[in-house]
Amino acid sequence: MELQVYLVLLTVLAIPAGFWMKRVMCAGREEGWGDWKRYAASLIYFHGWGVLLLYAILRFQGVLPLNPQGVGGLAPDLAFNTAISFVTNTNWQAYAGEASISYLAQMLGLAVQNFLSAATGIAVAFALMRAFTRPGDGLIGNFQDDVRRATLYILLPGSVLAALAFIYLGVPQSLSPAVDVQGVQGQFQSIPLGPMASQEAIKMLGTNGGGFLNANSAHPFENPSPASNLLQMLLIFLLPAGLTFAFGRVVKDMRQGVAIFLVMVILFVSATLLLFHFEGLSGIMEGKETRFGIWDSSLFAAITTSASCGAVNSMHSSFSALGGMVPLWLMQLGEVVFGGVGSGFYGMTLLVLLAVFLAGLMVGRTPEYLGKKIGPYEMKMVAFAILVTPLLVLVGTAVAVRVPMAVGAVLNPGPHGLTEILYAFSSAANNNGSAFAGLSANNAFYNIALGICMWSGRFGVILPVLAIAGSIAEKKRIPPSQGTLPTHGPFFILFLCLIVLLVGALTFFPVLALSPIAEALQSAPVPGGF
Amino acid sequence: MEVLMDVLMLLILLLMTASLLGLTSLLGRREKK
Repeated sequence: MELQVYLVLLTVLAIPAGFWMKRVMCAGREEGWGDWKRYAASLIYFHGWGVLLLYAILRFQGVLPLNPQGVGGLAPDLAFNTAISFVTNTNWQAYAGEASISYLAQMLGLAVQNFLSAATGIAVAFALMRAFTRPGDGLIGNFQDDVRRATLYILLPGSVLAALAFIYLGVPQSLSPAVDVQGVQGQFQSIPLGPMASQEAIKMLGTNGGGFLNANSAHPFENPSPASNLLQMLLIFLLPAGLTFAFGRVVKDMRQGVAIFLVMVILFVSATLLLFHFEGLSGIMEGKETRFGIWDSSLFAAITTSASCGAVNSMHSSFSALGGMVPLWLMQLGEVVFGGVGSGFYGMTLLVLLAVFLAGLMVGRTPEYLGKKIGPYEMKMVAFAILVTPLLVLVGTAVAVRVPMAVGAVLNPGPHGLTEILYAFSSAANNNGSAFAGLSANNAFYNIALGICMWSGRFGVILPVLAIAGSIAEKKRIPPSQGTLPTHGPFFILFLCLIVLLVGALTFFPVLALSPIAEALQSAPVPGGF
Repeated sequence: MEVLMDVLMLLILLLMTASLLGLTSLLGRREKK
């Protein structure tokens, strides 16, 4: 019932959000537009400088103002990891939020990148959308202008509204230092304060996921009630879902946007029901907040890993073996089930192109999508983008299990330990950022290895996506004929679902068999097992 | 020691950014063929 209410609310909110995004991002003249290489170069320089600036802020936060707790600078490897993490929209947190980061670093460093990384996702998504409408001139947009529009007219107003709602619901917003109190049993405790509501808003709206507090959305200050929990879940999917409707508007065929939206809904609902099944059967409350219970924790876990958000309101490591596999696999699908802001849309479009190509091969038609022919170059780029993240996840995990420093950080032996490592690399390479818990990831190996994975997983997909956009934008539009494969009907929707599942299943089944599936078999018969 | 680590981290960042520029150029060159 809650899932149905959630989906209805999401659809009602995502449609106007999508129309607004299209209006903002496609308004005005095409001044300063360039081809994809120019667009990509702007993006790389922008984030190259961004990551250096954030690194400097994190290293020198100890001598910078707005630091009432007097925290020192982060260690170099931790600053490296955290800077990349926030620039790539991952928000993997190897540090303890309230104890390690000053208010200035939170607001000027991390929150700024929360906005800019999400704006980059929106910019790349619209660059790809525009490519399908270009008459053959190869122009896809102006990166700086796209980021400016996405930040000022989409993310900022949305975050202000969301922050006000969070303050109303009881999330603190203050620059006061933490309050030290003596508890009823005589122990001393430091109660953290800070600008949480504003951070919470962009954390969810931008599918960033990096919590102000170490416990993230499981902490009653970040997520005080079921009402704030529902709002957070809606904010996570709002823009990724809205982008599918924006796409329909851009290509002037709403059926295309609705088809992608339905594919995402089908995959999301299937995964959520599976998670409900495993967690409901197990009845495990360990690692879950009593104010949310099993259903709200499971729904939040499915949403946060379908999207590349990574905020958590429960500890996924404490889920049943197969229940924990569902969020893990949702990330491994490439964050295309709604996915991150922008990245979910362009990730799914890669799979749409793959589906169109395969369907074309099967029936002997020249593959085309929205009036643009799909050629060998596009397919090479699709293959490149689809293979980047599995390569990072599998090679990273394989290296980690051979490095003593990496294995020593695992708190649970056996298959569960392998799941913890696999989850960390899946989360980093797919820019999700959620942690399974049970892995002491703040050491030089994980900080550097996961940092490289986050960077390569983000930009190793964005670059081929922009190359595809550039190539498609150079092609002339051809009118649909009898040989054109309809890409909005039920057949194509189911075919696309199958493609997403096949790519995900074939790539990761062997390693999943060694980790959560082996754990479930080992401990069978258990509730939540087979 | 910390300074050495700083240099190493900055070098990796620089290398990763440069590799993206290289990848862009590589993908662009293949496009023309």
